[in-house]
Amino acid sequence: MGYKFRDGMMYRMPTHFGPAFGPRQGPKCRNQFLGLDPGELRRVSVSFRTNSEQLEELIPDGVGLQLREDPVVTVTASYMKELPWLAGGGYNTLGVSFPVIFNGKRDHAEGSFILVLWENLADAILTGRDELGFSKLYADIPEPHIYQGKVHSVAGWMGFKFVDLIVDNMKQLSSEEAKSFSGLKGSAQLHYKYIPKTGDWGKADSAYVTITPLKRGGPPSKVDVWKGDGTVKFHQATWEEMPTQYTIVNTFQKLTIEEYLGAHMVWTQGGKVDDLSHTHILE
Amino acid sequence: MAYKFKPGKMYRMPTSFGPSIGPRQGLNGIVPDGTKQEVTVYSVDFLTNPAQLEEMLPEGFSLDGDPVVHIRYMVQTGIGWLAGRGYQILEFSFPAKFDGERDHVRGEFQPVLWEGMADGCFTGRDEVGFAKMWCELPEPIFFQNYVHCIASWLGFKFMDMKIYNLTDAPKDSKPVDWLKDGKLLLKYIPKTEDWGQADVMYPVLSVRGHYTEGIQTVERQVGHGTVEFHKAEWEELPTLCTIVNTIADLEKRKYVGATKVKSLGTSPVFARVNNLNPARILK
Repeated sequence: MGYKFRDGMMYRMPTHFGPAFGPRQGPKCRNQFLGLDPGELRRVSVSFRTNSEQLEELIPDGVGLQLREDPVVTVTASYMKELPWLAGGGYNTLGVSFPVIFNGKRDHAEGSFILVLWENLADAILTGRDELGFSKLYADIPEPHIYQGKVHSVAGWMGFKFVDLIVDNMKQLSSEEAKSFSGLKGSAQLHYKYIPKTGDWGKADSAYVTITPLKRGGPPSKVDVWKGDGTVKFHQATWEEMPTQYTIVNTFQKLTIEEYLGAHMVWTQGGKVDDLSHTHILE
Repeated sequence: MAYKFKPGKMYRMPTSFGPSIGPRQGLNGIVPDGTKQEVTVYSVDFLTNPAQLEEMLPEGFSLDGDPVVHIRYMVQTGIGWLAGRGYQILEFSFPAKFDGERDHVRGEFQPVLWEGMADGCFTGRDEVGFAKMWCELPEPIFFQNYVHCIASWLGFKFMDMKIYNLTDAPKDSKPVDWLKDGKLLLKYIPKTEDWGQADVMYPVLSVRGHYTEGIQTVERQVGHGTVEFHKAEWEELPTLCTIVNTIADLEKRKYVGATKVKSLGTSPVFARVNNLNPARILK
């Protein structure tokens, strides 16, 4: 007897071993990890103003997305620990985004368009791509180096370092300033989910815009924030150096940096997991 | 100006950086030379309880002949689309057939395979529908009279395969041909927001020529082998425990073969040379 899919349960490939476990479904039930306390999170972020034309070329045509006024690119490295869905494991990410608005037939929204999000754990990549439409790719993302007021994040792919993200001259905010720091709130995230059709590779099986609304859950139990001067440098790669990703890295390397707009490091503890299951399709 | 998708080109997330580059579409549409590719496959086969295999089959699929499980550990080097890099693969498959409204095909059903490189996982998942997962697959260990292959996920070893006393066999002797029409898969992508529903769900044939044409066998050895999957708690393998435990529970009625086969080259079908199609949707 072949198996049947269980109603209401989440599946991913491989579907042949029962419902899939991941951030949004555990062995007990769906949303098993929503609202649990994660461990520490460190986030290093640098923003810069570029020119609108370069960003507009990165927006898919005719899907309702457009650049929101100020062409500001934000590069963020995150280091997460004690995640409930990984039974206490953690992983690191590095994402590139800029602000967009969505005007569709039904929906109107604004937030950060996530161009690419590199992660150093494949399981998180597969769940995020399939379930949410995040443009996740794999990279080596070691822990940041923090030394005498400077934090240095890097990412590489099989030995080729493709980005340096540095925040220097860091000054810690007072606890009152830290609690009201605007960078803690974040923004809604928009994605373009796309899956090619097998055998008919110029066509899509799935192609739609999704949004992850603002983070749910309570404030972290501990917050430290440092502000400083940031720089970000992507390193041009040849096809031989990054055969699956060099077009992405080279596009970022060519972005004009007109002005750096601020940089910070946030270090939090706890704060209730948001499993992002409120991500939905925009029409 | 927002970008437009180029007609007939394959895309994957992230789509903002032009057509995708990978095993089935290379730089400027040309997949790089794979003639330097070497693949060594260590394989252990055993007879199991057919009822256990039937429980892994989705609708439309059924067992075909003896319930023989193949566990294969593949060591690849010189891969063209990775500019000469290599990685390891662990496959689990058994003989099955698909009977649909239009198509009737026989081959190997592949419920899951693991790869030691994330880029290989999501190209295969998105473009074809291979149920690829990531794990650590180190180089095999060669000692005394055996070769030992292992698989682990963040330190938890979930498989040991050993082949003893490998001795040369004629290269041109025809081994049992399990592949028939090719590999049988079920592509499944969940729909964002409608958890439990699918964006994509269809059977796929990864065609035989993908694995055979243009590939030259240079060494063939036979021995006797054993394979053990180790059961895991959710805490040990939070994303893989159901898969590993299902395979670990398979009854081993009799080992029926253990081989080492080394080959050279890449199939033009795999690389889509002359518009050959390495996979198609079954109906």
